[in-house]
Amino acid sequence: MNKKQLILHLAYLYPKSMNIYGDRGNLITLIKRYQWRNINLIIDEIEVGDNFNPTKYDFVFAGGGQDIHQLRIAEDLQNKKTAIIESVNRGTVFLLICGTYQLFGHYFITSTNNKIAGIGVLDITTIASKIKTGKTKRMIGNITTEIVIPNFKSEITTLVGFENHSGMTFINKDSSTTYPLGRVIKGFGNNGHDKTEGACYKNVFGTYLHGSLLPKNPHFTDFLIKKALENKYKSSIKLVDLNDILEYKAHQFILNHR
Amino acid sequence: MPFKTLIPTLIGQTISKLLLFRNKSRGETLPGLIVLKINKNFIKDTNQSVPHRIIISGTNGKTTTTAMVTKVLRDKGISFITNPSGSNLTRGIAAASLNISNKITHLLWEVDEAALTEVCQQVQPTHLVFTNLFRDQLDRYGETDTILHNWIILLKKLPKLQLILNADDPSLVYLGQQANQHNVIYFSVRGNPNNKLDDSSDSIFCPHCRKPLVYKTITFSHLGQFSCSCGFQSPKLNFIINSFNYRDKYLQININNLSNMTLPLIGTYNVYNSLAAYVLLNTLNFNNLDILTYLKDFQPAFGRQEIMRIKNKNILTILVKNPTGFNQAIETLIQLNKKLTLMIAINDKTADGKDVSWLWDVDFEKLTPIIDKLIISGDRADDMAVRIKYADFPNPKIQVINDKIKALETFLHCDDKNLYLLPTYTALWEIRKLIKNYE
Repeated sequence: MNKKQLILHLAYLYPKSMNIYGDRGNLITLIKRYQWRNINLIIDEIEVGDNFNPTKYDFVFAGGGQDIHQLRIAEDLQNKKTAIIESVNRGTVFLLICGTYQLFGHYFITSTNNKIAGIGVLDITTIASKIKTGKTKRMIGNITTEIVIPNFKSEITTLVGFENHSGMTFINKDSSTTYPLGRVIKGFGNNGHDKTEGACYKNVFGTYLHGSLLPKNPHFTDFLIKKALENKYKSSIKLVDLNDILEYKAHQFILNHR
Repeated sequence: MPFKTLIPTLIGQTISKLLLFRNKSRGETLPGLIVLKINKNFIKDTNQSVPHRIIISGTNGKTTTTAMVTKVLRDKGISFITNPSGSNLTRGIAAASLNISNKITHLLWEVDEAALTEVCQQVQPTHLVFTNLFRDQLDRYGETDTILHNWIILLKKLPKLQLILNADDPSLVYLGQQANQHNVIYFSVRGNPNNKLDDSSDSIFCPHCRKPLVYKTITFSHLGQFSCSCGFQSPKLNFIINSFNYRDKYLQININNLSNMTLPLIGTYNVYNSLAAYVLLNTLNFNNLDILTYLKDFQPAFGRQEIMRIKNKNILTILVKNPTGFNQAIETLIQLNKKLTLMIAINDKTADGKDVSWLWDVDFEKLTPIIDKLIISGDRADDMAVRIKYADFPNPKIQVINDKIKALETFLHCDDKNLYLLPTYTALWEIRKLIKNYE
């Protein structure tokens, strides 16, 4: 595969504030799995106030953070909205966890009944469990889902992680663009009711799964890695196989035990 | 003793004795649970007649700080009661309160952040020490902003007390400002101007205006000397450590350019713990020389650089519970300046936190170069193994032994005489039990 040096550019959004749930593991995993395949991954950290270049990036990653930071991020995302939408339309791969996943929807109604505007890339809305049901319910625990992305081809189709959120996310029922990432086998998922977990549109993948997600789901990681490469080089790419015995043992633990 | 405390006390003490008779280590909290069922104000009714009521809380360091203060109180011959480490929830305080008599002059409670509001309202402390606030087991404690908010509400409700705060933690400085009806004393350790913020630093934004804080110096994580353009900044200090160093397994620290303290410990986090203990004791009017003398032969608390000796091996144990604690354990091991035989044991029971995501916030990239041999065990050994693999530790060298008995056996058969163990809380309990069986 590597006749010429492949290079990808990744934007890590808000590393200083959306970083508390160990989501950094996703970035570490991407770095290593590109590196082990001799693919050059160049990372830009993008903070509040920084410019987001819509044509530069092949991969965008953002994690979960504290409620209080989510407000700052929400404001900043509005400034980046046009650029992000342009990037999404170019087929850039986005992986968004928890807090940033919510803000890529239309809006998020917080537990204090404050409506925070999202950027509406995903056809989803999020409402704090306290407002929706009258009682704060944090959805916490290990979670297993079945990946339901239509063109996802892999022997292993489960996704495992740990969820910890009180926002309930709903995919618009009539959405023609946004579909769930997974069907819940064990755990809560988007809202604890409709068995959906996460949401996808084009190459944007939002999910509640921490754990970190990518280290123990190498099939999903490689799916994203391949997608980003194929989108950039506009040709079919076969990834070099890696030894994932340890990764799948960690994956299997969640399947077995919870 | 008033009637409302007499009956629960008698019942509780009886249960304590029965439990102690059956199983020495586990008789600590059940009596507390029972006395609280009989009288939910049991802590209040027993505690409030004692003149000095001290509470130590915070994310990291509270056990060691409490152990240091305990050492001085004991050596000085003070009539005091403290709770055993690990029994730091409300029921643990209730159980320990069963031993209060008229002779007792000091209560020293180490209190878990999650139980702090309830315990403080009952105890109404005269002295309250906060060591720091870091992210910790988010599935159990919640986010740091939420915890800080709860502390502020709590302090507004408590009668005037002596508040002892780590001035290097922006969250605690904010707490001190919000709770200025209390007497606030600040302590600080001078950091290094060349240190950078870790990726997992928590409180790096101004609590007033949310702009990023500017740091002049940093000791570790988000602890340091900080300021913001809105005016929020490190406060006026009452106690400062300007310099410290390690010599032959001893920590030597200088407080306020006056007192030289020597302790058999390593690690920058222990400089903070020693200072917190010193400041508290100083505030309680203990003689300076007494404090320094009694702390010289301080013995580390459970799993906090405690050395377990077995089969001619010395196992130095550092409990790991959260990213900052683990990073500090790694920094401490690096200071030993040698290649180590190491065992890491990660569990995900309730007391450990069920979410192991935090392992990805720890800088294992710094640990891998100093590892000679590594054994990974515990219920979540597989997750730990993946983390180490992605920290550039060679895959074939990763030795995962899920079964703790076999892991310990292999560990003890390593050539090195000095072994290093980094376990989570319940993993430490399990391994200690296994080690006891060897004896």
